[in-house]
Amino acid sequence: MTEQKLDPNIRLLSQVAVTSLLWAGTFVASKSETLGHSESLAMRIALVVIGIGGFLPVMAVYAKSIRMQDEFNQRIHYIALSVAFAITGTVSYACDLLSQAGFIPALPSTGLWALMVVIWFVAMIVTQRSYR
Amino acid sequence: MKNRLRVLRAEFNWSQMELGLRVGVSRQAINAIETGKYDPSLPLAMKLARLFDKSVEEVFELEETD
Repeated sequence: MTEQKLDPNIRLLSQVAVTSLLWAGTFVASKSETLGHSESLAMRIALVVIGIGGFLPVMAVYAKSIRMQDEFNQRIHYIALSVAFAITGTVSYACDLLSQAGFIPALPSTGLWALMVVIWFVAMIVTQRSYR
Repeated sequence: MKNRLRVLRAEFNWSQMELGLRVGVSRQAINAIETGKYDPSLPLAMKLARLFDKSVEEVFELEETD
């Protein structure tokens, strides 16, 4: 019997869907009151392990999706990531100073990470357009 | 870097998509190379040249500014 191979793009999309769902589930679990406010060491360790354990597969799939692309699209990703890194670095440094000076409250690190993802996405669109 | 990719592609009557499929890159990559906005890697340049039965120098040419 010949084994039919799944289209790599479909396989990747399925992996993105599955890992995203896993991440969403573990994210909700890690934010639960039971885990977050527990005084038990085991529960607090579980909180971190569940949270990170659900997040790593998503990152692995995204890294795989970039590796699967051709050199031109990889270049677009690298440029966009560099822009996102530079802007997020500047923003986090500025926010840190503003927070120290008492102008703004401390920014959560997850918020900075989300900002980096948004900038990455926008920078990818801008870079793609610049190559047209 | 200048190149003759668009001319050669037209001679073979291939679309950008078709050429991209033959060398394993996207249509956008072929378009960016043809418009001179993106210089391909050496392996990709060699693949393209080989596909048209040309040497790399016959397809790609350095400009004064390169």
